[in-house]
Amino acid sequence: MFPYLIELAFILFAIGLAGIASDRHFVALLLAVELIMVASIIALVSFFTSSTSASASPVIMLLSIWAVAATEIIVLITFYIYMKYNGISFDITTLSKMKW
Amino acid sequence: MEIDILYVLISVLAILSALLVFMFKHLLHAALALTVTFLASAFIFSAIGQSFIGLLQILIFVGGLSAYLIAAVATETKLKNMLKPAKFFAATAALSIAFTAIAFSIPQSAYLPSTFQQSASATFSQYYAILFIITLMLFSTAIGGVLIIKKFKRLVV
Repeated sequence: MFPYLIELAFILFAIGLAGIASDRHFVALLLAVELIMVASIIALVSFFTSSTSASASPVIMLLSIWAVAATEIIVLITFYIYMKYNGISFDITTLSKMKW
Repeated sequence: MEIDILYVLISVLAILSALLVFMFKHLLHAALALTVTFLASAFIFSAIGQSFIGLLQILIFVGGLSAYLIAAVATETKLKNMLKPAKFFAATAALSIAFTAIAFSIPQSAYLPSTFQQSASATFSQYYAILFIITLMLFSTAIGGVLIIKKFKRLVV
C-alpha cells in the first residue's frame, strides 16, 4: 500500500504546484501551499511508518510541519485582512507595493 | 499487492477535492474543498493504522486551520480568477506522471513494518520541550497577527 500512498502524496503535491504556477490570487496561493503541506505530511507519515527505527525524529518533523502550516495560515490571513481593508489587490503581482 | 477499496475511494476523494480547490471560482467553496482534502488525508492515516496522527490531523487542520480560513474568506465577495483548465490539467498530469515514475522507482525494501507509535512515545516523553517551544511559537504568532491588525486604524477588531 505504501507506494500508492506516496503516489497520492505526489499527486497532491503536483496539484498544489500546478495551482501555484497557474493562479495569481493571494488566497488561492495560500490554499495551494496548504495542499502541498498535506502532501508532505502524507509522504512523511508513509515513509516513517515504514521505518524500523524508534527515534523521535519522525514525530518531531510531523509536529514541525503542523506548526509551520498553522503559523503560515495565521500570518497570511493577517496579511489577507490587511490587504482587504486597505484596498490592496489580491493579485500577487501587486504585493511589491506593500510597505510597512 | 492487495489494495483496500476504502483506501482507493478516499484517495480518489482527496484528489478530486484537491482539483476542485482550483476549479471553484468562489473562495469559500475552494476553502471547503480543501477541508474535504484535509478530512480525506486524516481518514487515510486511520486506514494505514495511524489513528492518532489522523486524529491530530482533524484537530489541527480541520478543526483549527480550516475553521480559521473559512471564517476569514466567508465574507469575501470578490471572485478569484478562473483558471485555464487546459493548462492546469496539463501541468498537473505532467507533474503526476513524473512523480509516479519516482514513487514506483523506490525500492520495495524501503517499506518495512511500523514503529511509529514508539517514535510518538519517545517524542512525548523525552522531547516535550520541543512541543513547548512549538506552542510558544504559535501563540506568539497569533499575538503578533492581532497586533499587526490593530495597527490599522480603519479596521475595527
